[in-house]
Amino acid sequence: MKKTMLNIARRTPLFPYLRAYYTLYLKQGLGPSLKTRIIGSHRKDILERRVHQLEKVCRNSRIHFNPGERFFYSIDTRIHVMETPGYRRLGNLTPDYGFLLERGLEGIGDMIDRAHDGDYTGVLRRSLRAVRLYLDRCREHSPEIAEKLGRVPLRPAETLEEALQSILFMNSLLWMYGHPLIGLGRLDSILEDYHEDPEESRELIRDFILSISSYYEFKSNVLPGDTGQVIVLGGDCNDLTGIFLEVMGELRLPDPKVVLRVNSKTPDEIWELSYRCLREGLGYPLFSNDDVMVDALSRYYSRSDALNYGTSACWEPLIPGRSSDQNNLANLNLLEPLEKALHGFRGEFDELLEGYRQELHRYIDEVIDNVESVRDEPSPLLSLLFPDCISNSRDIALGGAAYSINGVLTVGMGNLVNSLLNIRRLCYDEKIMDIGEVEDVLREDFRSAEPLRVSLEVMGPMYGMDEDDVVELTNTIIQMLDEKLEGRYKFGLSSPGYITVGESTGASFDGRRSGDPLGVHISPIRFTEGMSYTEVLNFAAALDYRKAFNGGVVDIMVDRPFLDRAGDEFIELIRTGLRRGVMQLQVNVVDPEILLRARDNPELYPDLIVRVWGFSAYFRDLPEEYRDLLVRRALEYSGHGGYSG
Amino acid sequence: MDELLITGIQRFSVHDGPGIRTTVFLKGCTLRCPWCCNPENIRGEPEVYFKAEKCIGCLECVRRCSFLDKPGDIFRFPEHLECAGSCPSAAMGVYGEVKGADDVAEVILRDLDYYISSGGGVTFSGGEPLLQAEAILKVTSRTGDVHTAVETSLFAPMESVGRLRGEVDLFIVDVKILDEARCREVTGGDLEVFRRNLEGLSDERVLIRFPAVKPYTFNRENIRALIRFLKESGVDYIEVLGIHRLGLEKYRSLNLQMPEFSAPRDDEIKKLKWLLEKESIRMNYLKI
Repeated sequence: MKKTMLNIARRTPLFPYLRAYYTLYLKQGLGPSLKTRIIGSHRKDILERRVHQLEKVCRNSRIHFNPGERFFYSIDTRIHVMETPGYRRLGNLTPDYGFLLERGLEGIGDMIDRAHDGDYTGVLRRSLRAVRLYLDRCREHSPEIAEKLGRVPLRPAETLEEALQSILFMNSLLWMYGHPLIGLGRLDSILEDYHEDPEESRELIRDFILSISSYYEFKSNVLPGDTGQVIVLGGDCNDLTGIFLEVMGELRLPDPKVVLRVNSKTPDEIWELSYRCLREGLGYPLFSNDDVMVDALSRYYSRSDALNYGTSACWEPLIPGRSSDQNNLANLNLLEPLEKALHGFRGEFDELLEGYRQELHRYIDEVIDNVESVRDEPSPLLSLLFPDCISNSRDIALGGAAYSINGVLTVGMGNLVNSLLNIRRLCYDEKIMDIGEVEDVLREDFRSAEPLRVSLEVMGPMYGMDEDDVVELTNTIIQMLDEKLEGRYKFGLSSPGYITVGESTGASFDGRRSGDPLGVHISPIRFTEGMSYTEVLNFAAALDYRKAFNGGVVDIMVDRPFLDRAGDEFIELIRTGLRRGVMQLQVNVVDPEILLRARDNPELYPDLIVRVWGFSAYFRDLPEEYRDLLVRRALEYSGHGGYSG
Repeated sequence: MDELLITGIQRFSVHDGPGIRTTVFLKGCTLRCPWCCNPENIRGEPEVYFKAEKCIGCLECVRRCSFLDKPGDIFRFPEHLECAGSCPSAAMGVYGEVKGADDVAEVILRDLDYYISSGGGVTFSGGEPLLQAEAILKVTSRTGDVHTAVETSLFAPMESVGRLRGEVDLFIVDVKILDEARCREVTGGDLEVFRRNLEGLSDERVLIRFPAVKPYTFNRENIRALIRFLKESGVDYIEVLGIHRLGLEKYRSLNLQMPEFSAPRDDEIKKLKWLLEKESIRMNYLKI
């Protein structure tokens, strides 16, 4: 019955609108969704349709300005650009803001005029016209706005203030046009030429951060705080690197967030400022190791582009303004092939591994087919900020960018490795269990085997320990993934899906019950008694990131009281771990007692910020299962690296 | 003597000497200090433990061992190490394992990079590590240049101290009770042994630590004696250990009562600091 109704509804021209309202309703509730204006289009041609939508956004979006604010940054949160059925909206990207500042919209227009004439140059011209129309509307709206938008974004920026205003203007349009998770790029290097007086720059950057942090709920994707607003700093540090870190440490906002590119040349002062941000419990900066990353990226990108890497919404690498990489197209659940491989299996351990490899490859094919059945939706607005799209005269979704190397994520690596280690130990080394029984025990979710389940959780060696056979097994799985994905898709070892994918995954032989969360990124499944930070970092440093570089984050937690006693040692720990070859690292600094109290009464701690997968958020905004997992992990990490005994 | 009896190797240790360290806990001690926070390191042989809070009630142990009626019975059969080790949830188990010097050295060397960057190294603690001096030397002969510290109370055979002299970079010496009779009564130690051993370390780097415990060490007479002792020995810097009761669970797991003692208040510590500074002795209070 429901299906029939749906099928009838599908045939009506109103259906896309109904669907759009329904998704909005799910996200925002009834009131706001009814007040939202859906921007559709009846044009058949996809490019035509997308320009049409852009024109509508530029014509109709409402303009707000709060007097007294330094920057003009207006987003009409009551419009919703309808998705095109069968297409995937591009997001999770970073446009080339440096290009915008250097040329201004007028310069971009000249470049379009010089590009070889085709259908697409017409599309770009119309899009630029639409943007200029919106600019004129803003200027006419009030003299204050007109003053703020004096020369930019039309002309190249000449001062830091103009540069920041120019970025904010285009950024607001991208949000209204419906692109999710828009990154900000390497702002310290983009803005370096505009920086003069440190005091003045500090003030300007402070106001810029305040502007960009607004419309928090509207920008959030899956959970509050998940906005994708990454500021990439570092690589080659300059004065602004420190100013950004200082300002953000003072403002203490969960969003935007920082990815800090570190390498052997990163100055002590920058480490010190990062430490201060972390100590505040902000959860950023996330450290990304240039020495490992640039090397890995050189497999797919030119050396100079690799050196200029930025990240997607969390930490997956891409080249800002040059690559249209969709890095998070799917979550490969690494436990799924194991379940299939174990089905009816009777044989030796290496045969099991080979069976796993085949099942994994089959599973990857399935997932990739699924991913490839959907096309990227064109975006003339984004294409305006990708110089290659203009010179190639081709839309970003149709191969206009210099690179479009997409990526997938993996989840459950730790659970898989621990499962395999346990199987090897119990069924083959110690022979106290028959391989056939493993499947039965898992199918009944350990219901009559609780002692076994508990022992699987605590017996070592485990994922996250710097033991040779653990590292080797993990790298073997990485190798299996690479065999199948190399040259087609990047893949990484961290994923935001550890809770959601876990909910639909049956019991696993690492002692995990059906439906429980999977392991968090490259961290141990449980940071048990006797484990240490150095061990986890050594383990992570030994993984094969040349193959698995689409994000690979070690996520550790540390007690604030402990940090206050051993801050210097902690900084050395992180630096040394990265020097040894850890690719990416994030640190949640927590006060376990406060976290426990906040779990029961979140409203008592409205300002408490925690790091979730690749973003920071207010603890009070998180669903219960995320809060519980954070508390559980915080307690595991609590008291480690402590005192005699 | 290529083997050590240890209860654990703790990496990323930051309170047992400078920098990032790995602390090896050796089992066996000559003293019986009532405030001991590592009771599992007192007896010089493996012993069974039972942590009730970890027990899932599966009775695997009872099935395995016909002497046990319930998990807690293990204390009546302290020689049943294997039965204790069979517990699936590790609620029951054994404190103390024998590990080869090679294996211990291998674990220590894994964190070499961290020692170098932070000025850290390895610390042998316990228990009383001097009781296994020979085995410690076996380990340090394999760890080469790694900075080595021992945490000792010096109530140990003189020849042990002699063996480690020149082989260890830093002796972290606990100074507890400085009155002969009180010392013997409370800890069972002979203060003369301590004095002689300390004299033997006159050319070594020594760091003096003072565990501040009421009523045992932190009282008027003992603090006076401490200051006198420090002046006589020409010490100008000490670490004062804020004692804690985190060992409570371990006492329970050994079926022991944790003795009563308490940490000084912050203002009392301030006063001690002031008294020491008057004698131009700096102090650092390690509060846990």
